[in-house]
Formats: sequence, structure tokens, C-alpha cells
Amino acid sequence: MKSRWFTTACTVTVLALAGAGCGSDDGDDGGTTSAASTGASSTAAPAAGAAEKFPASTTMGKIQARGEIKIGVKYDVPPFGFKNPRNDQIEGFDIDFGKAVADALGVKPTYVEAISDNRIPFIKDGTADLILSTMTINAERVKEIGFTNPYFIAKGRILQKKGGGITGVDGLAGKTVCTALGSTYEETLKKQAPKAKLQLVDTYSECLELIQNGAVDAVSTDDVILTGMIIQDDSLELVEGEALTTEPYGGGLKKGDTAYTEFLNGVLDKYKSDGRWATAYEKWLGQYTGEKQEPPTETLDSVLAAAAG
Amino acid sequence: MLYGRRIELKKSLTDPERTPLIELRGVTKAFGDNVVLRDIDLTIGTGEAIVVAGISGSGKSTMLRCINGLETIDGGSLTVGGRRVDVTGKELASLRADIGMVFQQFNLFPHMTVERNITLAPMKVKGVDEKAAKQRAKELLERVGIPEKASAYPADLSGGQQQRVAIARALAMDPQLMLFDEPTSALDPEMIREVLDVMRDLANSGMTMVVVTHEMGFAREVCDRIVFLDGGEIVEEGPPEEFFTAARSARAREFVDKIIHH
Amino acid sequence: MFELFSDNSDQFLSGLWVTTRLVAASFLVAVVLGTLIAALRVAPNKWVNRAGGVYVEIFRDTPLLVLLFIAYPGLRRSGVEIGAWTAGIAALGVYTSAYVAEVLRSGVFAVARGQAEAGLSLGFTQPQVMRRIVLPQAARTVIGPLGSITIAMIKNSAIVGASIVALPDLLKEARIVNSNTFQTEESFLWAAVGYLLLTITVTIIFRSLESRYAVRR
Repeated sequence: MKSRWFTTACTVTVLALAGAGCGSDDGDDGGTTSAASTGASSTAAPAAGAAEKFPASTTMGKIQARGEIKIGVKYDVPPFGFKNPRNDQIEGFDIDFGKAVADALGVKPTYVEAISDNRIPFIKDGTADLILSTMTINAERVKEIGFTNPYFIAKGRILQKKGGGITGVDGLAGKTVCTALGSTYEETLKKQAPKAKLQLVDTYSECLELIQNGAVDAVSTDDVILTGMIIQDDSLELVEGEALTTEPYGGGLKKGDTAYTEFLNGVLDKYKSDGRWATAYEKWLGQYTGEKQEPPTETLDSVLAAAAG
Repeated sequence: MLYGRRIELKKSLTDPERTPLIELRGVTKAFGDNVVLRDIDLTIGTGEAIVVAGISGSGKSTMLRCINGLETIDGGSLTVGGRRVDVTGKELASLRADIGMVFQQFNLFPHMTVERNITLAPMKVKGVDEKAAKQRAKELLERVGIPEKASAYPADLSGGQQQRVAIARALAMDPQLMLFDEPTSALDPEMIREVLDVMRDLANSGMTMVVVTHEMGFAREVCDRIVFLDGGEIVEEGPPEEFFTAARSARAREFVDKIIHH
Repeated sequence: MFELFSDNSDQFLSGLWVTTRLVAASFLVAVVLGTLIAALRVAPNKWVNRAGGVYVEIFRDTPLLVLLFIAYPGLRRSGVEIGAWTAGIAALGVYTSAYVAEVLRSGVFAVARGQAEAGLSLGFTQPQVMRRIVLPQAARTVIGPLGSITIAMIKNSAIVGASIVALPDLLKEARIVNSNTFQTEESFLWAAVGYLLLTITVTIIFRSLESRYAVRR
């Protein structure tokens, strides 16, 4: 037991250091990580198929004992989390990262639908072990749950029907804008477009329905979610202009679970460094937007600091 | 006392050619496969008081209800005052306004006062003005013996009182004919008399009446003619004395026998 | 606990007001439509009768949520410029009208046939008998069941707000407060209090109507 604990502590510390190293030392990225990997290779880097076993008292251990990790995801927000009607599978960028976490524990992932206003309750009551549901890190949420480092940075944008005539945030005055109940856009829109009429619904798929049938003039949320809508319906377009907000997505977990946070951040770091992040990005976003994006380098703390400042 | 006078009056008014008011010719009626009236021929004259007698199921209530169209006839013809009964809608309503009916279950309108029960139809069907209708209601209530009950509700009255109100209600329309469908069968014995008294009085005043009843005492003393039905046919008809003492048909005699020994 | 309410009283009260308006408007629609359909159901004509029966079957057997989808996104996609309020009131009103129609129909049939016969014998036409004699009596027997239907409608109104029609009703406001404050139990407890206020008021109103208009037999 004691020796196990010691090994785990070492592993976690090394991973944390490696993670910190990656964050602060862009140029030396390759060097630092490879050194860390080599140093802890016997325990940190699992051999293909064999995941590390964690102590039963840790969250990781409990998940392993169960044999499955419950991950809350979106079911209707392509390309991050959605149910593919062809094969009935849940797929997306969030899901791919979820799989990486599950693999690192050697368990199978089980997905539950976590719509915006369920996400935090699900973590608190244990319905989900982890939330990967396009959830933005912000100061209010951090009071309720814990977050991993950001795994994606989205930008807040506005969607309208082509020819809708809205230019920029100010153009929303007097128009109806749809967004999800419980999302950060409620506050954002109230601040940035106080004269707009907000229509709050459960899910973004409902927003899509409403803008398609003309019941609302615009939808506002993360650009990647809006892109997902444009992919489905090319009569829609993004409103030109600056992004409303920066939305760093983080994985949600129980507040105060330091060991689990460090474990997840370790998985994230590996995911970014060994190219899986880039593959996922290309697969789910890059091929549609034609854009390229680098994996986020910010940490939870830096993101919170930036928002406060 | 009154009965004797009735017979005298009748005798003095006896007119072999008494104007026919109700005429049934070959009337048939069936409920599904069950034939209830077979080839009924009957003429009732103005001013006549007829009692229709028979055992349960003999068709007597059905025949009565055919007269004001509550039941439709399948064959034959039925006229009241020369007007055919097999009409519908407003025509039928207009015909019914001239025929009064009193039911076994009284059927007073429970959500209205006694006075309103009586004035409703005259006001709304005949267009009588309120004052006149209320005056008439007062008179009729006096005639049936319960003038003090005008503002009571039916639920406050005894069965006998309710039935008397029902008679007043029917009379308020000034009908040319009154139909009674077992008017005392739902009453406690002590209340039967008060209702029969009203009916007797009515007959004596010359109202044309057709009464389906089991009250053979009334039949014997008041009516002009008894019509005896059995199995949907008129088996016998004639003056009451004859019916009760010397009925011609076997079935009628059997019936009378049972009643007398009851 | 009470702080949550006082801090967010604007939202809770605005939601309560929306729910009240939604229920009141839908109630009117339900009663008017329900009476029309009940009239069809008690008509002597077989086909008229059946038409009413089909209406009742359809709207009793279709979930309210489905009706909401048809009324709002469904109609809009077919080109009808229907707004959220209209769609919500229409769906909830039509849904409830099927139940109202059935209650009124049984009320009419509960009135003894003799009543109608007495009316007819006095020279009233069938419609007059309905209006003056049967319906007033039927109305008095249906007050109780109508009260229950109204309470069910208050509860169903929450579905309207939660659906894609998304009117900012009491439940919706509670969810917004919850998503801002994360005080889940308290937020929804206050919503429950609001709904209880409505249902208790309705119960009191209908009970007093019943006792006032009860027909003594």
C-alpha cells in the first residue's frame, strides 16, 4: 500500500510538473514533455492497453472499481457532442477526449445527456463523474464545481439567417435572440445587448428549430456550436464582427478533488502533446471551417485571471 | 258527491256525434323486434275522460306517448285535432304546446321555483307576458290547492304536492287535451288522493283527458270510457260500469277479477 | 430560503403572472371549444355525434407536448406566422377542451331524460329544451369535474414553458434563478409554492360555485 501511494504521488507530481512545464515553456515544449515522459515512463505512460491502477480511495480508483466512467455530454450539439442518427452512437470532439480519459483508466465510457442547466447538478449529485459538455469555465461555476485546464477555446458569436441584416452585437437591439437556459450567454447577452429580447430554451437544437422557422432572429452561443448549425443548414451565417466573448471549455468535476483534477490534466496534456488533440480538431472542425487551431495552452488559473481582469 | 254530478253532466252532454279530438287508425309500434302496439284503432272525443288500463307491458304508456309524439309510430295514422302527430321540429313543438302531459316521475324543473316552473312555458313558448303568466300561475296553484308554495323549490315539496304542481304547469298552457302517464304510481298512498281529486275536478270541468293508471277506483267513478289493452291490442273498451261488472272478453274479465280481489 | 425569493422576487412574480395569463386564456379557449364539441356530442344526428367523438379521441390521446410541437414549430414551418403565446394558448386550450367536452357531455346525460321530455311536452323545441332545462342542470353537476380539469391545466401549463414554445412562465423563471444561483432546492420550492397558490385559489372558487349552484333534488 505505502509503496503504491508513493509511486502514485511521484507520478502525479511529475505529470503536474510536466503539465506546468508545457504551459509556461512553449518553445521547449517537446523537450520538457519528453524528458518528463522518459522520467516517469515506467508508471505515467501506459503501455498500449494497460492502464495504471489507482488506489481505491481516489476517484480514479472508484471509477476503475465500477468499470465505467459516466461522462455528461451534449447529445445535440454537433460537432462537440451529438447522437449520430446513422449508428445511434454519441460522437464528437468532447466524446473523443472522454474516450481518452476512459482509456487512461482502462474503463469504458458511458455517456449521459447533460443539457446546460443539468451539468452542475449532475456533478454535484454524482450522476456524472466528468462533464465534457461544451462547458465554459467562469468564476461563478468555479464556486460550485472543479474544472480541468481548458481543452478548447471557443468564441462567442451570433448566428442569423443569410440576409438577416444584423451587423455586430449592437444590431441585436429589438431582435429576438435564442440561447440555452443555464449557459453563460444569458449574462453575456444581457450585458452586451441589453435591448435584445432573449428567448431561453433547453437545448441548442431548439434554437436551431426556432431560427429556421423564423420564430427568432438570431442565435448566440459558441462559434463551434454555431458552425455545427451552419453545417446542417447553409441558409444560416455567422454575423460579422468581433467575438462577444472568449469561452474556454473545461472538463467539470467535483469541487476540491485535487488528485482527480491532476489526473485529468495529465490526460489532457498527453492528449495535446501526442497529436490526438490535433487529429480530433481536424476531424470535427478543421475540415469544415478550413481553419487551423492550436491546442490551448492556458491553465484554469490563467483563464480565471484573464476573465477577472 | 262530485262523481254523481259528473255522470249527470255527461248524460246531458252526451252526443253520439261528439267531436273527435284524437284519432288513431291502424297504429303500430315496435321497439326493435318487440311489437308493442298492433293495429290500434281508437277515437277520443272532445271532453271525454278516458282511462287506459292493462297489465304492465301491455303497451298503454307507449300508446299515450305516441299521442304527443314522445314515441313515433311505425305505421298507421294518429291525429290530434285534425293535425298529424308524425311531424318534427317547430310543427311538433307547436302541436305539443296544445297537449299537456303529466308524468309518473313529476319531472318538475329542480333549478326553478314552483312559480317559474309554471310560468316558463307560457312566457317563452306562447309569449304570454310575465304579469299575466304569474297571475295565471297563482290561479292554478289555488285550483290545485297549494297557493302558498309559489316561491318554493320542487325539492321542498312532497310527492303529492309536486305532482299537483306538474298538473298546474301543464294546465298553464291552456291545452286542449291532457295526458296522464301513471300519475300516482310513484306516490305514497296517503298522497294519491290529493292528486286524484285534482284530476277528478279537471275531468268534471270538461277537459279532454287520457289517463294511464292502475287506480281503478278513479277509473270507475270518473271516466267516460275504459280502454283495455293487452299484448298491444285494444281488447275491450266501454263505459266503466260495463267493464267492471260485465266485461265481454275473457282477458278483461280476468283483469277485473284480479283487481277486485286485490 | 426567503432571501432567495426576495432577491429574485421580480422573476418569480413575473413567471407567476405569465402562468396565470396562460392558464386563464387557455381556460376560455377550452370552455368555448369544449361546449361546442359537447353540443356535437349530444346532438341526435349520428354523424354530428361521431365528428365530436373523433375530436375528443384525437386530443385526449395526443400528448400535450406533441400538440405544442405541431402548434409552434409545425405550423411555422408550414408558413403560418404563429407566435409563441398564440401557439401555447391554442395547444393547451385545445388539449383541455377535449376533457371539458366529455365532462359536459356526461353532465348532460346525467340529467334525467324525463326532464327533457317534460320540456318537450310543454312545447319547447329540442334546442330550447337544451338551453333552458337540460344545460342549466348539467352545468351544475359539472362544476366539480371542471375544477379538477382546471387544476390539471395549471399543472400542464408548466409543460408549455418547458417546451420549445418556451414562454417565460413560473417554472422557467425558477430554472433561470437556479442557473444563476445554483440553489436548486430553494428555487424549485418557490416555484411549487407559486403553483400551489394558483391551484388552491381555483379549488376555493370552484367549491364556492358548487355550493351556490348545487341543485337540490
